[in-house]
Amino acid sequence: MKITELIGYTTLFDRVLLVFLFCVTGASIVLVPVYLPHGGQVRIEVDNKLLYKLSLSEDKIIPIGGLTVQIKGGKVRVADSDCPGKVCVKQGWIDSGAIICLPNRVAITVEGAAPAAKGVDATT
Amino acid sequence: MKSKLLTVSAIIAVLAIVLILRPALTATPRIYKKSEILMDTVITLTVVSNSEKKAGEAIDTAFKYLRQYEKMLSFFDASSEVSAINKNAGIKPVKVSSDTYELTKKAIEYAALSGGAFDPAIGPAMVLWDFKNKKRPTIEELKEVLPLLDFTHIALNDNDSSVMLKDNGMLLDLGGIAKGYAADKTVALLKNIGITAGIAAMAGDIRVWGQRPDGSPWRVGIRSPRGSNDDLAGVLSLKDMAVSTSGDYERFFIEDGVRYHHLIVPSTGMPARDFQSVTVVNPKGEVTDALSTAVFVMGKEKALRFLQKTNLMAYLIYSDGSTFISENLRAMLEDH
Repeated sequence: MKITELIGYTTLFDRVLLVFLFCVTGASIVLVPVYLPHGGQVRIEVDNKLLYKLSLSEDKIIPIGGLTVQIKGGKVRVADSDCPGKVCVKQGWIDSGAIICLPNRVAITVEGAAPAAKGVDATT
Repeated sequence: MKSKLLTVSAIIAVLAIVLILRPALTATPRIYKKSEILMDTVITLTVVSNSEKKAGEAIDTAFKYLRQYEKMLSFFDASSEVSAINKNAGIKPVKVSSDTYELTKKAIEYAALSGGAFDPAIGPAMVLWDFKNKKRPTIEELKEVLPLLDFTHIALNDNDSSVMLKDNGMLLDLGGIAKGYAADKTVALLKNIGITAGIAAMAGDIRVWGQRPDGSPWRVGIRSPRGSNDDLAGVLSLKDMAVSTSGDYERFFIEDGVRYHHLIVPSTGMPARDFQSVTVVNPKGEVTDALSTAVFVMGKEKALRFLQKTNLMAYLIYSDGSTFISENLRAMLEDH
């Protein structure tokens, strides 16, 4: 069956519906990737150089020098570190913001907007 | 009938597009943050923007500037301009970039203002202290370098932007002002590229501008010197202000029950003893960075006189844990 024949079988309602769906699909394809947050990405940098860009939705354990980084259930943490203070390990699981291990020069950052701070915005 | 249906379908289509566009049309400003390890510390830039892309680009531009800045001013990087000045101490003047020259000039001004309590010529004493390996210098070693700790022996030449350390063995160390100054420069840069609010936090040297997305002031916690990293001594509500804290808990070691930390008195080469931390608030980061160190080093009596004379906003925590909050800071301190 040719496409013109097929169109001939459609009612006005079918055509309206087609136009409507076409508009919605077209607008979604163009606009959703632009305006919706990409979320769920974690950047791991060593010495300010990007080493990994990983999805938070894929559970993983990654050894990086003296550190063990773990991704699980949409969150990330430093499971273990050979640094003296272990501030990075004590910070626990995060799903926004960053974990920094200064002695190992590792920065783990969850991409996207940070939620408004419940406590303080910075500490001096 | 046909035209009615067409009108209805057109309306539905428009509504659908508006619904999808809604996030863009009503995009509210959000907070974006990024941290990098620079200047031997963690630098976190926070910006408020209604576009993740714009925020990311602005933050990347600022970090690019900060990396260049670190290269010029690092005390430890052998290829920095500060190292070039130090290698030529007692030999010849060194022409430097306008940033390095300006900062050296400012450092000398704050040294003079504080009667030498803040001293950018502190370098020879600082290199004798090894806080990482818990090593302190002997009295003899310190005595030998004390005559070199003299900011009045730093010669500047405005004509060719050159800096010369007059005595052989002198070492310029801009570490006590560089982060506050970097915060100022970063905020100016970000404002220039259209970011209307945010925080430039060079570890404890912080400058905020604008306000949070909900219109409230930024909240900056003052760390409790003997608590854990999360324990706060107080919280400041700040708008278009800089704040710096000099604390004896930043770089230190304890030997035989005595705390040896990095806030060194230029006249003795030994750590200052009267405070656990000194927090200073001012519109300029260069002021808060240099003068929080200066006030810490001055000791209690001189510090109080200095605060009165300069009308500086300050939160002091004495070595016994008691506090002094200057009258002009109280309105910015929450629960006071």
